[in-house]
Amino acid sequence: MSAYKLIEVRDLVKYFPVTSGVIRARKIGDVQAVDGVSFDIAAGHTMGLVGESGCGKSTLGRALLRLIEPTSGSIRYQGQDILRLSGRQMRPLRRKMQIIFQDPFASLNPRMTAARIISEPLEVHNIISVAERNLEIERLMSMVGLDPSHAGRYPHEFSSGQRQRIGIARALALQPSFIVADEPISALDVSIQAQILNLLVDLQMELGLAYLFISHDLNVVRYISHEVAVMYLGRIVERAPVESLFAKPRHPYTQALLAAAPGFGKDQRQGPVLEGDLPSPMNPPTGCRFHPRCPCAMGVCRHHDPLLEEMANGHAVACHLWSAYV
Amino acid sequence: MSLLHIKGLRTHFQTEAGIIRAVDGVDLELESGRTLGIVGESGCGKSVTMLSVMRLIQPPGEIVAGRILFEGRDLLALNREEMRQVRGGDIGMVFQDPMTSLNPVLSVGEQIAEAIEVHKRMSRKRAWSMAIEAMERVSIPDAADRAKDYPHQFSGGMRQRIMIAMAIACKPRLLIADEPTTALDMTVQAQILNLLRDLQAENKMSIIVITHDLRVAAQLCHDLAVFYAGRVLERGNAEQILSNPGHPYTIALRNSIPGLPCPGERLQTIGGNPPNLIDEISGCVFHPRCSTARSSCSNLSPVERSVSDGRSLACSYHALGEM
Ligand SMILES: Nc1ncnc2c1ncn2[C@@H]1O[C@H](COP(=O)(O)OP(=O)(O)OP(=O)(O)O)[C@@H](O)[C@H]1O
Ligand SMILES: Nc1ncnc2c1ncn2[C@@H]1O[C@H](COP(=O)(O)OP(=O)(O)O)[C@@H](O)[C@H]1O
Ligand code: SF4
Ligand code: SF4
Ligand SMILES: [Mg+2]
Ligand SMILES: [Mg+2]
Repeated sequence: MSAYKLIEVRDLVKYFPVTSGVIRARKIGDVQAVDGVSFDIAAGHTMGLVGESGCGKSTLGRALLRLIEPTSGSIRYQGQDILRLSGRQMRPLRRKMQIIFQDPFASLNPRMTAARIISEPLEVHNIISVAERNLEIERLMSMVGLDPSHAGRYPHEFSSGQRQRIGIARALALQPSFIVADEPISALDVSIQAQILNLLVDLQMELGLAYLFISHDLNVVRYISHEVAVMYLGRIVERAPVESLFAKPRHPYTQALLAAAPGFGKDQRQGPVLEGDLPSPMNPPTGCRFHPRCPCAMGVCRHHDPLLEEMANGHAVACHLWSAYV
Repeated sequence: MSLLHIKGLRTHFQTEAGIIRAVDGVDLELESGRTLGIVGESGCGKSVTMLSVMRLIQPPGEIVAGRILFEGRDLLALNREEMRQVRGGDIGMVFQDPMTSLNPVLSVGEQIAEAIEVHKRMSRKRAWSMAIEAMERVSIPDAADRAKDYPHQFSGGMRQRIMIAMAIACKPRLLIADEPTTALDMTVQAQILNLLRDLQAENKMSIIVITHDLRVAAQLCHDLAVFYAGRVLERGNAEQILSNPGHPYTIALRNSIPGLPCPGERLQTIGGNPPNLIDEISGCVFHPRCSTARSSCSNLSPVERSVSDGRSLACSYHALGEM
């Protein structure tokens, strides 16, 4: 696979203003949902994104597609900074960047047939003749393992796994090269999760797709990703090729996440378990954002914010324990 | 005598679309001091089974057959008042969704104290101090102060601890926890699993954990029951079942989970979809999806048989080592 950088994200920031009062709304602060995030995704590769609920994964995924407008930073798609493009200039690029959502039911219009749902993007972008449309629907449905003879059915007539396949077919309709998959299997039954994961891997091989794959399940991320980024309170705290991250996790938070992930170990107490919960992203701790929960925190951690620094072999970590080694 | 012995339990729901056979002939046994994991995909009857044990099935649902022996007493034969004493007294339960189960307008201390007063005649003051004690047992820091706080002032993980505190406040001999960690983040999930393990060790309490995550069950449980379509397809020692599953469904379920087999290896899948429980399936309930089904499986119902030391499974053709 020739791995040129398809997506390059630099210093991406998304703040949500928080206001109080209804009549004369006063801004009282910002939720720093994504706060200075940088990474690349190579064509045909998967970047896994993990972290606890509320740490900013979905916000990052949506910002990459400009489904929400980032506060600052840059996002390059094939070298072109998409944040500088007007709506009109953005249009052809929108086709190339698609998203699959977590809840396969809520994300499909219940009043549209599978055929309409899948072909709607084609119509919106006006890129296919009516004559070709049915053939294309048939092709897409077969590609994701749906029976094309069910094209006239409505979402409620499909199982949850099949509905997720419809969502994937719709995302594929415009022949994208990049897909954000936001917890695409979390809502599915265990036996169906494996079917969808295999499908996503097959489609990647066949079509050379790049994925940003968001999940809180480390085993799933390990299975599907080439590279993994670990997020904590709006920041990437560690990023590495998948083998390296799981073999040698360096950030204390990543180590805690791995220790907490249930494996098939027998009745044994899990290693050092993180105490406490994620602090509020409106008022993140000073210095290293992880320091109130970090078992290794030092004096310097309370005041100085560690930078994400690249070490050998593409393994990057933001922690003072490692700055000396860089 | 086992602590809990469920025999031939059937709980059905009469709906317009037809009869939903949510639980359709379940046998389970739990020895005192052990942890039993109930695993299976959503809708296979895990919650309804445990709600039946608590006699909390509401119409159109009905327990249509079976016996539920708790310390030898048939719970289905108890009157309302007797059952009220069992519920929350002898058996504590943590329900699936913590936010819906806590009352948002009462402080958590009041809620735990109220639950205690149902079972034990005592002053409000005494109940309040027992509530604080229960909160301490689930490791809520500054319990005496936090007892005055309302549910929304706690994080998801702490609300789950409070639900557990409420369930164990009267020192039940059995705690039933329905998906206690599913809505929680991985790090918080690990905290709760350790808490359950500690509670069991300290109080010699038996625990039933419902989960759809085989890995959670593997970490916590001595015994395991694999549910499918309102039935138990395999049960026995958890470690043995996971290291050497016998029933074709257990094998398939285990092999479809990432991380196992090797990372990066293609996942094995189970074809088709989990059954809806309205259409009656003839023969083995798993036959439409079983990759090793034989022609007779579609009309021959397998009977549960024991295969080794306390392991039993319901498949007409496969036992251990035959696959
Ligand atoms: N529209 C919004 N307005 C204000 N705050 C928001 C908005 N959307 C998200 N946030 C906040 O931004 C933070 C990051 O949210 P985000 O949805 O990205 O988290 P996540 O990592 O995807 O979590 P989960 O694992 O639960 O899906 C959270 O604190 C969230 O409450
Ligand atoms: N109140 C109800 N009315 C009708 N059907 C119900 C009701 N509660 C549960 N069921 C059905 O019973 C079956 C088992 O449900 P449940 O025990 O909740 O599954 P799970 O194994 O996920 O806990 C499902 O088909 C469900 O839809
Ligand atoms: S910088 Fe300090 S507090 Fe932050 S993760 Fe590293 S050791 Fe812990
Ligand atoms: S009885 Fe037949 S269909 Fe059922 S699990 Fe055994 S082999 Fe498969
Ligand atoms: Mg999200
Ligand atoms: Mg349930």
